[in-house]
Amino acid sequence: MSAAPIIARREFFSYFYSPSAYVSMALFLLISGLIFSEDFQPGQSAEMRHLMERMVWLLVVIVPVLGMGLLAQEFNSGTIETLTTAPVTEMEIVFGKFAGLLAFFLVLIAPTLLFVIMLRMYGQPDPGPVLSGYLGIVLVGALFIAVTLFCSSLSRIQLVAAALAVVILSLITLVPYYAASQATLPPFWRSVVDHLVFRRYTDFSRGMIDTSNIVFFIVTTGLFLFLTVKAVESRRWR
Amino acid sequence: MSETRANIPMETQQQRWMKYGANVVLVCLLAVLLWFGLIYFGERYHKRFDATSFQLYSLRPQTLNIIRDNPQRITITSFYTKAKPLQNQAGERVAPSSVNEAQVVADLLQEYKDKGTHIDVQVIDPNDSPAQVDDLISEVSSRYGGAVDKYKKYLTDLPARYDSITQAAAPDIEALHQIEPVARSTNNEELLRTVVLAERTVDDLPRALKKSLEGIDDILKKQRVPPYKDLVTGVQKELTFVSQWLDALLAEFEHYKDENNVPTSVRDYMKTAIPRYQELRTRVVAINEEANHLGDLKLDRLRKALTQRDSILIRGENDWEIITHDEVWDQDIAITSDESFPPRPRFGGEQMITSAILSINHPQKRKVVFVRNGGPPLAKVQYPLTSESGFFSAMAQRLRTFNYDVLDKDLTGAWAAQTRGLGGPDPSDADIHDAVWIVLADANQQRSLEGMPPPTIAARVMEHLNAGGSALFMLVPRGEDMSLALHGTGIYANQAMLCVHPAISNSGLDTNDPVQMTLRSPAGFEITRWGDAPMTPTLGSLAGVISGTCPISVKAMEGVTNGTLIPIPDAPEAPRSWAAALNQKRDDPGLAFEPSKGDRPGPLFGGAWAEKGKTRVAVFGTPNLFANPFVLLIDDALHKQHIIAPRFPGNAELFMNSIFWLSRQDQMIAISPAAMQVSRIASMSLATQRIWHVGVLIFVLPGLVLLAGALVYYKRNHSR
Repeated sequence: MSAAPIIARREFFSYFYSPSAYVSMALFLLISGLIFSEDFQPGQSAEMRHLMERMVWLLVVIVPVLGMGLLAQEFNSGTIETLTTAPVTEMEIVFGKFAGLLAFFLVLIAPTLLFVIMLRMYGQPDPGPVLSGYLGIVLVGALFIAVTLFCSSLSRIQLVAAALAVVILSLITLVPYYAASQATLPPFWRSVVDHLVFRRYTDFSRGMIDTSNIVFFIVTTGLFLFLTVKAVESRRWR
Repeated sequence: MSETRANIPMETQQQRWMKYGANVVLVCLLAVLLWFGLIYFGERYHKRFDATSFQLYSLRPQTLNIIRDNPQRITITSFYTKAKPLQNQAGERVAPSSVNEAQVVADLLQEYKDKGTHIDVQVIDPNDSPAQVDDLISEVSSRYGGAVDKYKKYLTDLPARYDSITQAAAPDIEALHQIEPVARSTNNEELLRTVVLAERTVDDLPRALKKSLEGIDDILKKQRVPPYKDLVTGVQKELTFVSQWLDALLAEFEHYKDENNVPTSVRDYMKTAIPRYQELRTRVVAINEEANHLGDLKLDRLRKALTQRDSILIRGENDWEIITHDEVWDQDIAITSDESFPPRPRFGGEQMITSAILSINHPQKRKVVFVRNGGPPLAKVQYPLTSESGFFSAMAQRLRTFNYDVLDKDLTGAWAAQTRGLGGPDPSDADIHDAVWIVLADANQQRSLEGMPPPTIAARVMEHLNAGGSALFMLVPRGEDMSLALHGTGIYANQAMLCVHPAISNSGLDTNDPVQMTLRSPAGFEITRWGDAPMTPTLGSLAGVISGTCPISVKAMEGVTNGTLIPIPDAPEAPRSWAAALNQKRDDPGLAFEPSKGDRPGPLFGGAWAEKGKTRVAVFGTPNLFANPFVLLIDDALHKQHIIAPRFPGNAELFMNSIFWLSRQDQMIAISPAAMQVSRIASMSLATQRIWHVGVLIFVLPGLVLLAGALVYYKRNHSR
């Protein structure tokens, strides 16, 4: 796995040369700021739960936009041939790209720490839910990146990859959120909905750390990374 | 070598796809199976950690204290359904709950199982497993039968008893048929009406009784858990109706039997019929009366709860309790100055479940009694809370949820005399001797009746304490002097004085806000320190309010452990406070400390406690501390976020902790789920707010990112 860190570093720095990354980041911070400004008012409780829950919805779009070209661009431009003929395994390629985008994702959410500082200046936010909320955001981000990477490995066209990723992420995040509010949802589907992303994530945002949720995010991220490796490997014999 | 290579057949693309593709598909399937397996084991063997500082999602210390020492096997069953109806029973559209109620309850029950001793948990969704629900009901009725057998026997014996009534009435049917034409031949309409009424009563009685029995039989056969209580109530209503008719007939017969203008045959019939009708009536009344002694039938409550939505059943070895949905998801009835938002249901599941466990483990309820020196009851509740509710009804209700029996007694008997006993009898002295007394001796009640000296209760209270009883005193400035009752505790209260501070100007403030008005008045104080006492360690800095308190002090006494409560805020942290004589004008804007007028400097205290042998006493200098307006006031800022939390939670918590301490339930002393220490964003000017919202959040933060991007772009282009 010695090539993975090199690939990760290269991917990470490449984002700082990409205009779309800056635009995505600015948009993300603008919308987060607008949401936070509703909560940051005198007399309101000093917490970030509402913001963190809405942040996940933003990431459904932002992460695919950031990650759509991870592999799709390589396939489209032909640089994947150079990469795969180098002494680098597919696993290293996938993990390197995943780690690169994950590192950039951490940079993306880092400015939201300003919100915590603002709360601290004017109140005494409970640190537990804030920390567990950020843990949840990182786990959700890792999962979203893995899904985006997988979608990127399936298509040469970046937009198609992004659209596919948005659809999948919506199916596991937004759709269950709305489905859960339907009174007539059959018990089987209600059980399915309860085990998907949003309900698990809200535990983190309210301050409950459940090991089953951590296992879910890590294992599901691993599954999509594995599927991505297989998709990249399949290029050799297709 | 080249010959060897030439002999190897080339794979076609399809063959390659089949070989490698099948391998990939198989491996991916295995990966997905592994994923399912890991998720399953992750769900099955998981741990939850509550990261909140106040352990908001964990069981409270009082609950942990109770369930860790739980002596008997308790099974808690949730009957919450995950699919909610879109329409309620009234046909109104009901919005789906924004809270996953079933999940919240399941999480809570899991905590009970994990942290408790001998506690099992079941989750049965009635929609998914209706048979399990039926089995459970059958098990409950057979295992905890008790009064069910009495009700069953009553209903089983009913046919035979109805037969005896029918047979007793039989001779009169023919006789009435014969005298009816005779009565008709007279011109006496009222006589005819009486005879016809008697005829119809005895004629229809067997048919009516038979029909009633058929209906009961039908229900008993069709329903697996019949509504015994409802059936018996129905029988009682019928029999009451019959006995009322018989009473009317007997009165008429008595009137006509000696009337000369009534035909002889009719008069003779009435004379001979009176004893038979009286016998008939006696039998009817006896059957009715027997139903009153069948006892309480909790099983009906179980049946009703399970036919409604979402219940929780708690079963012990000898008893059980059921908690309905509305008892858990409580719509607070509260006083608030902002009525624009409907309150969101508040989850009181932990409180209700813990109380139910307590009740099962301690079937004998602990008692508290509000004792007073006249005036209306203090603990009476009218829903919704109205001005007709007792002044302390909110605290009384809270006590009931903690399995206390709450009684009300006027020790002077004046109220009963005034109302001629219409409010029902007060409990007897025997009923209240082992209760914790909550004493309120209001000056206004000390009116003498018919020139007699005003009734006092201090001596009675003293007797109670000397006999080892415990009491909570709510002293009233200028009210009845309780120093006699407090003799021997080392606690002294000056009921002719009031703790005050200089009046604070109202200029620039919302003078419609009752909280602001109270705190700025000389006698109003906001309390955030409660003192060092057995009932205060968990109160922390919970906010409270006290208004119009007389100063209370303690002196050391041999054999007595005592201390003060509620230090009154004083300089330098707060405006200077002192004790002023009551005859001074408290609303005087120029109110100042004047020793020449008898004012006493601080430190002052609004309460005290003492323990002497078995006796425990808590004394507070004003009843306002626990009155409904003070404890029910809702925090407006949180209310706007649809969170119901009291503005001054300390008052109610102090009351409950005091009662727990007085009734020797020290393990219950902790913050209840209702109290909420929430950090709020401090006030800031509108300009500051705009700088943060618009300047920083909307422009600066995103702008910096775009600027960084522009700089990078510029640097790259120029470096080329």
